[in-house]
Amino acid sequence: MRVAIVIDIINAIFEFIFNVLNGALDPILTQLAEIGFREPVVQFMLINAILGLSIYMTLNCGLFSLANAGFMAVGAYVSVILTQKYDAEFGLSLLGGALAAGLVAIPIGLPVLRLRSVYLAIATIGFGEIVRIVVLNVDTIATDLFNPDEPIELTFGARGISRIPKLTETAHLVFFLILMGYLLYRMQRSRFGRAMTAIRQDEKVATTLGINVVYYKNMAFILGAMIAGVAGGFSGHATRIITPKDYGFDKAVDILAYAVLGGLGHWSGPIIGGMALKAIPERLRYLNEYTGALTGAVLLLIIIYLPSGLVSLGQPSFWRRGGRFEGARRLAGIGVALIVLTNMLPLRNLGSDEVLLGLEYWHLWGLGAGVGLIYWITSRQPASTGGRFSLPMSAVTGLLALGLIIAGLIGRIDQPGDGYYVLVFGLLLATAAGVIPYAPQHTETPPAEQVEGSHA
Amino acid sequence: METFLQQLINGLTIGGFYAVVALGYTMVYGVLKLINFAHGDMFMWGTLAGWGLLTTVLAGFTDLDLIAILMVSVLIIAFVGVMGMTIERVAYRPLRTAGRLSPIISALGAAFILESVARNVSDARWRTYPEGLLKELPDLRLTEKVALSGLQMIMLVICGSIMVGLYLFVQRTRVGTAMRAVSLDHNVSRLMGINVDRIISIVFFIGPALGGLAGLLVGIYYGSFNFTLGWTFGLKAFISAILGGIGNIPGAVLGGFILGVAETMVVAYGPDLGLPDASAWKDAIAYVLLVIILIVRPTGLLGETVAEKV
Repeated sequence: MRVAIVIDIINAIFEFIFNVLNGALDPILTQLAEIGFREPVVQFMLINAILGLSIYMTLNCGLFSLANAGFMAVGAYVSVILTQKYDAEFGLSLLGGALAAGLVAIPIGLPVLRLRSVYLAIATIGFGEIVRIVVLNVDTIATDLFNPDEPIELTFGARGISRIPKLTETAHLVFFLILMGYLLYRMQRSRFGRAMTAIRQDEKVATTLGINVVYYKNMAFILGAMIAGVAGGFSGHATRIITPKDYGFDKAVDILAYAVLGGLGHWSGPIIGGMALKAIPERLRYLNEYTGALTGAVLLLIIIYLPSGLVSLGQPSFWRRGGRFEGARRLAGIGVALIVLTNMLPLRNLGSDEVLLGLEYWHLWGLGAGVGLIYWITSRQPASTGGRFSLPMSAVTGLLALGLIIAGLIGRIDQPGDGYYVLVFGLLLATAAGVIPYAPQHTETPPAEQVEGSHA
Repeated sequence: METFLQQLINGLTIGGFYAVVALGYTMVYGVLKLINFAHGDMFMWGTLAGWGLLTTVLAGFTDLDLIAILMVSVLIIAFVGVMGMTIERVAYRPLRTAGRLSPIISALGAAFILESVARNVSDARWRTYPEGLLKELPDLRLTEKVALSGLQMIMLVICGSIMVGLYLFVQRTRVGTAMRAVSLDHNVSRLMGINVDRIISIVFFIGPALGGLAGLLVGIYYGSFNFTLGWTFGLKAFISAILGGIGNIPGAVLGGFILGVAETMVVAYGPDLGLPDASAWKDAIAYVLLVIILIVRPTGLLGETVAEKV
């Protein structure tokens, strides 16, 4: 009786929160829908953000674990089975998924977390694949073992579970993300978070400081697993169909990309990265079969120019740091960001279908050739000269690139708009960055112990 | 016993492919401490290019499949090798000083590009190699029921000579010595007068070129492929490299053979051991094996213990 009242109260509180959030989100969602991100897409962006956070938990502790796709599968299957077979409430089923993922993480983590770097990565990939194969075959095995007469159908093998009720709402996701963001923000300043940072920076020193390394590593692993489990539950109830192949090796690597693309220097990095990695292919979808290639190219560009991820754009130290290479990177960073922005935002009043980055395909080849040429020549410079460019060479490259880009742009000059100017500016900056050569790759390669993002 | 021998032969053939692809992973990891996620896709490009080239060559130039395959393999070595060097220059070199995770993402970007282009080239369909390649070679009968088919023999000989050749190259030549030096320490190698960038370029030629060649062999052996081969087969090869201890060339070979043999044995003996649907479980068992080996030997079978972090 009393429990029922408590549940009612909790339900009422959540309902209130979600109502408020819905009210706040509606205008944003309509705005986003106008520029091509309809609600399902937004939901997947948010789910990706949660997944990014889940891997951030482990990376933040120096653990290169790729098990999150497996935990996502566990969470998705458990929570979907809970809602579909046992009519559990959505919140409870998510909790169930998270707990299941966390419980699976304990026996996995204890032996496996002793491994380092790639060995840990591959062992966790192995775990993810084992989960996938188990899910694929659990029906036949269970039938054979317990009940040979009447087939047991739990995961439906390769067909997956379909006709899942669509329970995920954007408000839920936003609420969960805000909660997680807040918790992570608090965590980074807490004893717990500092211990993890210490472990990431140097495990041995952390041990000597009295930090229980095994405990914290396992905690990070389990927490990451639980977050991934929740993300799985959300995604299962958003796609309405889940199959084992959704959670394979490629998903595991994608999740890593969310976190690294966003940047590991800050907790918001994985959120931004996850959303970006859903938004970019979505925005490039009109290219049909070239979407994958272009997504790869954008990924490549962003990470080459912003090696510490997208968040480094927001960090003052990134802009302050001196040096020519940094200058080039900054310029190129802005340039690329602007080019991407002109495509993402409705600023791009430059036609729609046969146009990419505001350029027609045909012109794009010229542009690509130009950029490639710049790249080639800049990277030809021997390291011993400090990557310095001789004046004639830089003039030739610059002029050539400019010529190609102008040739590319001229086709569109009849329809100038805001987007056009922003695009031109972005391209110019990116070109300028191309003319400034890469930093001399001089003697000091950071030692192998260099930790990603820890100095940011 | 006879089944065992036959399965051993089959397993060794498949393991040979894994091993040759794993060599690429392991060499790149050796010099750059980088997981080259694009390697599997370059391997797949070897298969894809082999399909295109073999069809053309057999249709237009020669009827002798051995000669056609020889011509095509030279082309593929050049093509995939140059592809690897280009990817190194574009995607990895700018990030050489940027930590350990960023190059993984640029590798992923490169892999996306390669895979997506391959999907378009192959129309996202399963493609089959020309029929009857190397089929008229005589089988080698070992006993009544155990036979080493001509195709398997060629595959084993090629894979074996690649491994031995690479090992000798790395151990005996000046460039190989330079590679080993670079894999130990970039800076000290530079002090010794080694052009590190050039060595890395060479590694990025040899690794993918061997991978591409393995791709061609896989295509000939299995007869059909599609563009996802890069991920699935590449993952297996990567596992082989890790299993043997990444960065270690004999390790990669050992890992490849172990994985190949283990897989075939599971399929062959699974039903007797109470796994009715053994082929469904063969991957799972490969992974369980991997995890167990890693728990017992955290740096792979032949790997050295080096302290490092993400």
